[in-house]
Amino acid sequence: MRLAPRPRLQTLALSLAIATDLGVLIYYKYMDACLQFLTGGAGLHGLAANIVLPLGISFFTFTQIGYLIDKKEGLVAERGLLHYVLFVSFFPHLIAGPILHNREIMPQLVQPRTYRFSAENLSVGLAIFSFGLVKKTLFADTMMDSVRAGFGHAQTATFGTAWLAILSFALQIYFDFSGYSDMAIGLARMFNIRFPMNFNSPYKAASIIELWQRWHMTLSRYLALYVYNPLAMAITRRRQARNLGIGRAAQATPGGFATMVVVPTVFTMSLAGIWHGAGMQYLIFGLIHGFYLSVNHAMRIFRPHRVSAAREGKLMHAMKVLATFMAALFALVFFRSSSVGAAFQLLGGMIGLHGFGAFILPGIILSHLGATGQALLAKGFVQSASAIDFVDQVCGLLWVVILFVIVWGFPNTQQIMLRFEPVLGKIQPGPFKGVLSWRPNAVWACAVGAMLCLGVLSLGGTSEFLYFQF
Amino acid sequence: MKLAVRFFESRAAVAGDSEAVARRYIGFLALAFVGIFGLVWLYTASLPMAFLSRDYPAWLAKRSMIESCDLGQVAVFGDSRTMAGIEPNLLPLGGANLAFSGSSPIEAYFAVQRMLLCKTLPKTVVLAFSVGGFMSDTNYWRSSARVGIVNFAAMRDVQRESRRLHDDEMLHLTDGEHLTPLLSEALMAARFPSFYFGSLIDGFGFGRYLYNKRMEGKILSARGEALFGTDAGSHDLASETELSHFTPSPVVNYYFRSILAEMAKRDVPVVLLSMPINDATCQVMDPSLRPALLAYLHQAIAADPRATMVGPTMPCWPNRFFGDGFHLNAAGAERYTATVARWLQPAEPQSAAAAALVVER
Repeated sequence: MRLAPRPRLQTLALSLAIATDLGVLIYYKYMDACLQFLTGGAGLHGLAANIVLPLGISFFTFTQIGYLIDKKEGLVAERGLLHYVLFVSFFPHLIAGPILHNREIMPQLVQPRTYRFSAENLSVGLAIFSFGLVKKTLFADTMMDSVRAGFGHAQTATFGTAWLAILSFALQIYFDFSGYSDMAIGLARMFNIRFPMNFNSPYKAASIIELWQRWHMTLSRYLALYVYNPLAMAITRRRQARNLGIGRAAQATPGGFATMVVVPTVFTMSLAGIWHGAGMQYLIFGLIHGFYLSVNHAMRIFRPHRVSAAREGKLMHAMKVLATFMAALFALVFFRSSSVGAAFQLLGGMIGLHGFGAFILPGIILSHLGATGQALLAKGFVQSASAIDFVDQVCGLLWVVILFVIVWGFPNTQQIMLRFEPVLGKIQPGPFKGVLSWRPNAVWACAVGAMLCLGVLSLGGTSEFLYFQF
Repeated sequence: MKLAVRFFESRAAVAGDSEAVARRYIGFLALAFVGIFGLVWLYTASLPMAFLSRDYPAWLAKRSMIESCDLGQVAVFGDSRTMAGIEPNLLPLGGANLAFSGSSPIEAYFAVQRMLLCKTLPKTVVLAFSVGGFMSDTNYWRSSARVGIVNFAAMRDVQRESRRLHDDEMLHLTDGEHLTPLLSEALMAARFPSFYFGSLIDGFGFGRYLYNKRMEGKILSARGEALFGTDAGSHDLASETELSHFTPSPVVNYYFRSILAEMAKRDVPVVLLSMPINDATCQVMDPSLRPALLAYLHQAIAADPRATMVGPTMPCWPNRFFGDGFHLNAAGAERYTATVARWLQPAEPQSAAAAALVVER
């Protein structure tokens, strides 16, 4: 504020502060990967091996940078040091977000009622937290084994194993992230703070643009505010200076589209990719999504007329949702793989380059199938196994199907909690809103108690050590 | 339930205060949580037979043989290879197979401690552990503590010795369960349900009861022997192929030597065996493992004239005798037991017949 009359000095101070924040982040999060890259994989063990990543460094760094930029722009109303420190270090958001914006949180921190006990907020927070805990421990963690089986042996993963691995990973990351977001929102609510929505059933998205409006929503917003918009603005100014068009008509020309849409989109998504982790595979993940978004924008801009979502049929909508999901699935292969090479190996498995694998059937079913069963056995499509292995396999597949039904057919946590304004912003009602609408009554107390109980029970791990299968 | 809902809502409606409703809700939630969790805990503590894996009835069978001092003349301790490969019913001297899957000399030491309560001890104690069993005890928390092979007092003892030897392998639970040692031991001993959640799911809550009861009887009648893999042959690789060198774990070494010392104190001869491994594993295994294990075992029994090593170390057997990568199948077990029977035939290991059979000493 004191530097406001001297804009150059203010910009210099801002740049220095951001560089310091980013320097700390790069040192802790990317130093090892950079050294590995520069030394051809050997790394410098003495230097980087002892770097311990501080908990939540990405989140508090981004929160601080956002605050600094907003402060320069004069958008920060509350400036108290205590509130600022509380805003940055408020623990619920540090592990998996959401990325907080000072305009949403700081005003809540100055309210005296925030510091008073509220049984209503505690009960709402507990309910949201328990949904998150179950999603994380019971849904996401149970996918771990099939994910490891595929991604851990990508070079030999058969068609079935590879598809099961990537579908399981799609569920694992969905419920993991959704669960963490719910737990953060629930914990904050117990302390009378309402967080912004961070996860809004992204697999229900009918386009990639919509997917990013639903997936890690606060990261998308952050990147739009502090990366995409400034970059797009700079490009616009540059075009304006050259007397090139900047309106909708200019965007609909190949040159205008490439500079005003593709460049900022791909750049922003590349950064988003690297933000998720150090490694080429994360960059490729970001580039793929940059490409998807560009194609999606091209369809929006160049297509002569569009049918509104309300007018398009349910089947068409479902097809779009499925297409979006499949596109996201392809990018997720890179996100989860240990390297770019491993990602291509798994993709090879997904198209059957490593064989198709065999479905296991117990002897009793094979004998009932008679000659067909023998033929299937001979061709290697099925494999004889014990009844227990068969049940185990069927249960595993059934669990994946059940989780997809939950993903696509059920309301999300915010929709269940709709009546109690669980997050900042507007929430669209979901399916089964009559039955699956939380209220502080005995039935929900039992249900939430049971969910918390399941969550605590599954903290010891959901996989059993078995020397001998049943 | 309906009554509870009516009570809850009517009181809340009368109060007309969202804070009062919320307070009542939290109370009810706490009650529900404690009630459900308590019931599950009661279940896991009182009926492990209904959901734990076969390890549990196997341990019950062995514990019952030890507690009734029904051990015969030869007591065999070891890991799952030993459990599958030595059939006491085929030993002319009679005996009990007290080997346990995934166990190391740590678990064997505490089983021996239980055995020492018997008035009459077996004439010979056989110890047969895989090379990896001397290097670590990765299944201590995952299996032995959960099943109950090591009780609270035993766990405390292991912690004490681990600290004394600065061997931190046993100091913490695996799988990120970062609890303090005392707390984790107390919770394990009390069958805290979170440790059994995987088993509860895999066992469908109570789906293993009949199977486990049957297994307990079967293992008892087989005097502790139980097969693992049942294939007619296996060329799968065993874990020896993942080892590049042999380094004994300090805490495992301590308990191994403690067993030898206890037996020497009571003048009970100890025979060390090395279970066969399949040809497939032999071909890939690091050649330095065998001489290193042999030297270690020689050193361990050097001061004890009543302890002997019989048979070759880590002998390679044809793949057809293996039911999976690790364990002998029925044919393999029968053949190996016959071999062991010949080795153990003389009453005294120092006899001429035994000396002829002692391949390495």
